Amino acid sequence: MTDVFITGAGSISAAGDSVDDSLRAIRSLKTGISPISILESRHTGHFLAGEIKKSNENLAEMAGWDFSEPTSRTALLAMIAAKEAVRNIERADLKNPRTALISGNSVGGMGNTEKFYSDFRKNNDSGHLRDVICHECGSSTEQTALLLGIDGFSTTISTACSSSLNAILLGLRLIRSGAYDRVIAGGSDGLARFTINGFNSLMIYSNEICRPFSADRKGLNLGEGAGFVVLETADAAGSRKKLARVLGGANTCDAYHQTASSPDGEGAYEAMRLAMKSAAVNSADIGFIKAHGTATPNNDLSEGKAIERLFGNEIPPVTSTKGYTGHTLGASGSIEVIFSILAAREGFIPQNLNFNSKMPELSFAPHTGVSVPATPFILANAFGFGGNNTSIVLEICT
Amino acid sequence: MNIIITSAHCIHAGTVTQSVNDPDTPNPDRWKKASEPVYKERINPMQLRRMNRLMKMSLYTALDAVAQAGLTSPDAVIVGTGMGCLEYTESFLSCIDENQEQTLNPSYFITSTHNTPAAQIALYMKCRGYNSTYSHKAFSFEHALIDAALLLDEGRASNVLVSAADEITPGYIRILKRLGSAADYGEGAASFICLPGSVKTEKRICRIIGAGTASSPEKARSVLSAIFKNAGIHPARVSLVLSGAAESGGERSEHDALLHAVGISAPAEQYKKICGEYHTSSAFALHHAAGIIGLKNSAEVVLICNVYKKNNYSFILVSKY
Amino acid sequence: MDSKEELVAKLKVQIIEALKLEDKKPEDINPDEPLFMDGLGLDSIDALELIVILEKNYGLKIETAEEGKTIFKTVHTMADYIISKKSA
Repeated sequence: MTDVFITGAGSISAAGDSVDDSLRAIRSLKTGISPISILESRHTGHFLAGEIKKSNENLAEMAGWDFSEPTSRTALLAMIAAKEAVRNIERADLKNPRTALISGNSVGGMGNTEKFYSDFRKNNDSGHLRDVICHECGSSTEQTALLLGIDGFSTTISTACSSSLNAILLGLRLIRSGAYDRVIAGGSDGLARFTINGFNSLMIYSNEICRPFSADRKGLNLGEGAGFVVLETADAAGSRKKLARVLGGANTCDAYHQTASSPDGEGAYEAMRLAMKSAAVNSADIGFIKAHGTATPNNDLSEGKAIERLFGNEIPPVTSTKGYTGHTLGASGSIEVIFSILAAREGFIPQNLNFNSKMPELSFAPHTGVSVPATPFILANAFGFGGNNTSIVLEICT
Repeated sequence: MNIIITSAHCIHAGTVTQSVNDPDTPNPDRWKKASEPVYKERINPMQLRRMNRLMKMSLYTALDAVAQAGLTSPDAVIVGTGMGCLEYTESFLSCIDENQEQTLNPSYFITSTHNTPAAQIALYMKCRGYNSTYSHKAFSFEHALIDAALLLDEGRASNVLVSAADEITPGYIRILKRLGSAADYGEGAASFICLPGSVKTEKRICRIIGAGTASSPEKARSVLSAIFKNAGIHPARVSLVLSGAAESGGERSEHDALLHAVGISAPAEQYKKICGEYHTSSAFALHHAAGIIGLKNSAEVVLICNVYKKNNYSFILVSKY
Repeated sequence: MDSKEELVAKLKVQIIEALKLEDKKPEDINPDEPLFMDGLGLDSIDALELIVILEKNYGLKIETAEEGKTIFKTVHTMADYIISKKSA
């Protein structure tokens, strides 16, 4: 089976505008979650979110996108992160048909669409059309491909919160099939009133900072951002430094409920089990688990139970990084994989922020404190609405 | 690529293009609304109540395709949708506005994500296997097929349900018209049970021997040539083209030039005259191709060639089993 | 203020409408029948919609889904809750 390496990474979130910034934040336990201030909403100033304190115009400047061309916040974030990820790749190599782009998002251009719709529903000749032109999920991918000069296969996965991890999994599979030598994979999602109000209507938006795996957790805080990795064969990578190897992964469906995970975490259990099987690693090999850990009562219980079932009495450190960024929805998988790789390469496991007390239903508490990963293997999870469960196994390269 | 389609079902518009609003309005918006079945016949009313039309259409076609294939549940579910759940997206947006972001109905939100149809299908059939959704405009269905082919090749599934669906709303039509589109917009859903090409089975409708997408006419030429090369057949063997190119704006002439350059001389039938324009219309075309291929003394090799916004080409190469 | 009977009748109509129980008529709903699990067979999303009914139609805010569990046992318990809050 072809070895697939991660040789580049780019990320933007409330934790930082780049991978270096993000590493600094994780190392210094600095959260990026704060009261919403940029997004115009009734909840501005009240709801906590991992909001990137930059206007769309600022983001366009960072991305190198001509702001007079319609775009979306989701697309701009993708462009910034993808651009950072590919900074060591020649433009000619990006243009090569053996290079593909896979991007995941769930919000698409909703940040602008919702502005349009406010006017449109009162009078359907009103509303700025510029605000809806980039609504489709695929629009973000197209614009990212255009900016980077990626000419070959590109596609968009939209499976809610597991979108970008599914993008990485697909990238792995496409390279192993021999169809491509290089895949830029990841995802993005911008903050929008639609999702903030949506999660609030489900009564899972916490009015306090999120506390993954804590007994007193009250729900999630949303976030926004983007994360992209460069997946390559050893040949395609050439002299580029190999940061990690993607060993395997799996995707399953809980098939339990539209939004809730099953209490025994069956879907999560199967995704993790199959991921480890495909990676040919045992539970004892795992150095730490980068959990989905949204801090909702349901997810953390379900995921926790699944981890217990799979790892028994030998549970490795379990951590959620959502305390740094909020839940970045479609971007969460890729951003958090990047954080895990960055930290592990520096010899530490990202700490699970805001933890107060162990959940009574679980035998373990999340990772707080300082420790060195016992092994180079990381199990990373992302679970989306509709019971879409994805896990991948990485090995940090020395 | 070598996939056997063992069963298929499609919901699409009738041949009538209707007015969205009052037909006496000068220049009314027009749409090809899907000819919908009686959903209650297949879907439990307690679940039906929470489904928008997109979910109903896709689930209905999925249930039929799965039943026809003699399965209770597929091994994997992959869906393509260009616009996702428009109706409920609009409903939740209205809700947010009307209620000023307070006391909102969660049902619209939870069924507004693009992967709702795929999740719904899996939930209904208790399918716990691989589940994915592609939302890449007019390539959504083709990319779902490509993933299905990969999954079957990898041996991760012995059968895959591939579905595609898109719905239209009066609001969406209005926006498209304001953007200057002259097309007749449609909607629909189609589901197919796919098996690896090496499987020997009596239940077979047709074979997919290639699929690909390209975002410029130049790339389209190399993608299409590669499809024929990998399938091991000469382009001259295509006996029918199902074309999604618009007659106006130069799309048709460029499309014809491309086919000619690759060596295809078969006649082209405009499939969107039946189903209308929508992102996953090529799924209707595949169902239509399968029907044609199934007839005695009919076309043996059909090429589906869709064009979206002039530059974006997608292909599905279909043959008799 | 409505009598309990009038309130129960109103609630049944509001429940049918909000939860899109198109196949049901008010007389099909037994006010002592459990709304969740067995009985009417509603789920957690329906519970959230019931919270919306209470807030929009009766001005009563339920803070957590947990709180809703006892209130939404049956149509009668819903009515009792509304009456108790209104006369307080």
